[in-house]
Amino acid sequence: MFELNTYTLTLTLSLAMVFLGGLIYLMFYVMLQKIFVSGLRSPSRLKEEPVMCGLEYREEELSIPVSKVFTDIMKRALPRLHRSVEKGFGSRVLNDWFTWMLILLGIMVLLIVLFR
Amino acid sequence: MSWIDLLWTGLVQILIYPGLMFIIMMIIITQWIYRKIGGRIQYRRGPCHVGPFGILQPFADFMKLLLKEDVVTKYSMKKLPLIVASLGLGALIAILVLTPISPWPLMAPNDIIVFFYLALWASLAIMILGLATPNPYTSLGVGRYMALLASSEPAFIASFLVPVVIASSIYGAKYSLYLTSLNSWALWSYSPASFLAMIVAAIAGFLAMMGVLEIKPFDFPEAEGEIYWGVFTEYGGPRLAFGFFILFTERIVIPLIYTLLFLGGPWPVSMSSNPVLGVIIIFAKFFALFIILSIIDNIMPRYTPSQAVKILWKYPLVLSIIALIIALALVY
Repeated sequence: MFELNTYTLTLTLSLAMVFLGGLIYLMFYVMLQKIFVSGLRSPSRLKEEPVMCGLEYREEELSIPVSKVFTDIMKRALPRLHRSVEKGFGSRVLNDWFTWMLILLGIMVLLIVLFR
Repeated sequence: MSWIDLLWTGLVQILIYPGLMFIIMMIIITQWIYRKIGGRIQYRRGPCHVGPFGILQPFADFMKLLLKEDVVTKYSMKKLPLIVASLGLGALIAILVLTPISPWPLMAPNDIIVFFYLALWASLAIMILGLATPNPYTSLGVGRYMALLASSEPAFIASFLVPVVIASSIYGAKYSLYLTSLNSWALWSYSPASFLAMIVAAIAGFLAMMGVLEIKPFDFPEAEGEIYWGVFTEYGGPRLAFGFFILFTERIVIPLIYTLLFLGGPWPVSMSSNPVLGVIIIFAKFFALFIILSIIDNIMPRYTPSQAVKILWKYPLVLSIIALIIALALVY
């Protein structure tokens, strides 16, 4: 067992993560595509077009605001909590994924302070 | 030990055992088990042609996807999803160096936070994979995945913290994953309060883990037949292979950590007296847990998103907070 300090461990594991990630990307994607797939490529405009049920679509028609899907699920699952939060903060905050992440970060900081 | 020795042992660990090679081998075995179980439940034989007893079928499928042409729409992101997925995989594999299955484990005070940080990379990578394409079904899948994570991650983190907190206060585990894994078996019998905290956290942690791993009934972000395949609707070829790679690796690493924290790790053997037998026992427990998860995944129906979110907020989160309060009471 090697005991390191927290910062050195975080840095070591982050470096290991980047090294492994780079290796996986190069080995399983770049190398295999270059060796086995480059000869089989058949470029075609249709391959790059988004098609659904035989109809072509433009990008604007396809996009769905992900945060609204998230908020809608929370609204249906926890209607009372959602209503009270909406009254206090408005729907714009609820649709903002960043706000939710800030709340989660706040909870984590609170837990760390509690356990110190 | 010199820096060259450290570098050498580090490279062996992240590339061979318990690193990349080990994870690929474990994916082959666990996916073979998963497919065999699925086959038996659905009155099929499961994989039986490639390799002895069909064990190499998952590897053949993986290679088939990797060797296909990479086709993406002109509106999709080209390189970013693959790079983020690779980093997510690297993060998941790096976690194993913190566990007792590693021959030269690393530890640091408070390294449990590093585990949560690395584990979150996999979820982030799956989200980026979905957001990288303009398909409405992938966007729906990502929205659902966000709701699943926002509901299961707090319970997952809170419940996995319980054994760490108790072990740190009683056995001086310094909030470290490695030291907690060595002492987790003793937490069940230390006192009635620690037993209560552990059993409540184990139940909450199991449910939250099912949510994080998208195991039925919590697999609504994929929901085949409803939103096609959610996050993975648009994918085929190497991109789908990377998506599978990350999902299957997550299904090995998280249950392994659950085994170490809640199922006693190497108990009844001590890692210091017999490390090889200890590692064998850890894997025996892991495979038992994986088989249970596979059976649940094959026999359960799927919750609607609002049902799943409601249940995850109602039971695992509340239970994990209760367990944390009991753990806090033990500490002070």
